[in-house]
Amino acid sequence: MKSLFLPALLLACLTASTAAWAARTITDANGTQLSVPDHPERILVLSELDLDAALALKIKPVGTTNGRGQDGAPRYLGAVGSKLVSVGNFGTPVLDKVIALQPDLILAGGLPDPELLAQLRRIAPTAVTYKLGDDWKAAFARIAQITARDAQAQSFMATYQQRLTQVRSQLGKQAGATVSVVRWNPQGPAYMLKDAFASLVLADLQLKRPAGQLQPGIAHSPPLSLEALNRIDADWLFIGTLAPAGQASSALASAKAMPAFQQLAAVKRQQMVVIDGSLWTSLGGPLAALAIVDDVDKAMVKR
Amino acid sequence: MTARVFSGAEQGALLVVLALLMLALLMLASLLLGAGEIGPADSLRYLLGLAAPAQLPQDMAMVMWQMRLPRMLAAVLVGGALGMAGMLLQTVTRNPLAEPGLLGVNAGAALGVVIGIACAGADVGAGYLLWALLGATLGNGCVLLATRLDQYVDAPLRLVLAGAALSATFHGLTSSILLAQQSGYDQYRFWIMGSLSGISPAALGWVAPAIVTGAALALLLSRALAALQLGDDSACALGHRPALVRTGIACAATLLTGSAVALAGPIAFLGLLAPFLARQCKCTTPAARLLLAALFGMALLLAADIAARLLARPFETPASVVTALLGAPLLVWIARRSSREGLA
Repeated sequence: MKSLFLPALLLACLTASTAAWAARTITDANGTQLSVPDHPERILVLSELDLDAALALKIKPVGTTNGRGQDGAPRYLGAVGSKLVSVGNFGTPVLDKVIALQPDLILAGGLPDPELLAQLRRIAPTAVTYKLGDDWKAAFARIAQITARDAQAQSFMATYQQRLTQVRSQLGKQAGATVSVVRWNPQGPAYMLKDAFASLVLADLQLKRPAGQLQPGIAHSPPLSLEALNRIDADWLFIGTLAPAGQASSALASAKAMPAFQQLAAVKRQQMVVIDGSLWTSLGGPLAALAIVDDVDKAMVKR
Repeated sequence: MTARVFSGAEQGALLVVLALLMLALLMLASLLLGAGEIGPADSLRYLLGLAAPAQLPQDMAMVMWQMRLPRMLAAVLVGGALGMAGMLLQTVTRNPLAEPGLLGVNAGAALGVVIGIACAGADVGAGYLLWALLGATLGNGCVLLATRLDQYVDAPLRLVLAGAALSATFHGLTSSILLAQQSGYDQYRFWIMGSLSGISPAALGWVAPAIVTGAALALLLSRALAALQLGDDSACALGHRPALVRTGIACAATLLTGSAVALAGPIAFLGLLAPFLARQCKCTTPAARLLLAALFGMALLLAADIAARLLARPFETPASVVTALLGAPLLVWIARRSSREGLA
């Protein structure tokens, strides 16, 4: 009898303590079953999309990773992003900093490294919120489910849908225009492929991409030869770099000085729009999607 | 076909003529071929003035004079510089494997440029040139210091190993700077691949004088360098000052490598391939050997760059990938041969 009693007591204590701490079991993008706190209060986000989605759900994360090619949170998030504590770069967070933040839930979307994931799970329950190549809407829905904010997510998506309908109806003649999205590099500009984040938002707006930019893929094309620069031409050209403001403007100045660039129809018609590369040519979430719709509205809707 | 046997000198002259012919053809091909939609036939008709402008693609003049010509000139400058620098380093270290890429001079120049981007906001052109030269000086200094140490004399592979260690150190420092400053990365990423795409005429203007100066200095010192091969005492007896000559050669090699890296990024193996081919010509005058190495460097880089345009049309492949594909097997072959001869 005695030999059974002790383990039973232990088990009882364990279930009691977990019950107070975690009431829910969720399944993450990898199919792993996780027990997460019912009302997580210290959420750490380890990718741009997680950060964006958390902010859209009115969560203030305790920390985040730097945006790709950025010195801090992605530039488009502005002041909200720059105030956040950074734990390092995407894919290589500094574990000491992660521990110091004492998170009770870690959102780690797109994390490719299972060993890092195992280490993170020793610090706090870590949910893989999306796999590389999942679209942002599915990721957003999963993040909302993991953080128990489904209602907020649905209301955000409703706002997004409204905004889409509104802008689409105001586009008028431009609704059938083709739109090119380019990350500029004077030695080899790249365009965003068909399944890239910005491309998905443009598809939501039912805007067409030029015929040369329809290859499948979630990232950008390889660097394009400058002789083939007409591949980035379209009715509208949205072009940006990841570099900070000063360098970005000098990079684009180099573009405008280039004769091949001046030959582009979009440039001649002054339908070239300088955009924030951290927003348009990276992996964003719901706030980024809304911001892209705003950019399109500002550039293409006649006033 | 012919039973006549060429003498060594005749064979050399024949090879030189062939190399010159090939260089001319490659320069022409570099103007005729591109990754865009303008084909060689239209380009040739345009260059020969055989067609009215209306019959030609609209962008013809722009593609020819703004893109292909600067690119062709850059390949000639960078290829020539790296070929000559390779020959200089191989002669001064008495090592057939010495070349700026393998010995860490390229990596030193790259480190210089990254420090320049990160700390001083260096921009393409003059900024890259200055910082690349500083970095190349550092790299070259280390190499020449190593060759003064007894254990590296007549041990080609050991010197290459030391160079690999040096390269790794420079690469490590470069990466750590880049990781600390993510935003510099995008600007740097394409350049570090080693490519001739998008070279601006302004950058060419900055770098060309430095390369010409380096080449002139090297040719001026070529006789003294040859004398140095006989040993320092003999060189002194012939009226040369070994320390001064070595410093001059180091300056020339630094100017050549640093400028080439500033313009096109670190392109490996060219400094190995070109002098290797030049030596096959069995030329005896030191200046002619330097010029031949430069000639082969130009031809090789032109060919590599043409391949880089055509491999993944309409996208760019870095030219350094092509030179590495050619150069790595050669390195293995020379290393095997020299170890069989007991040099390692």
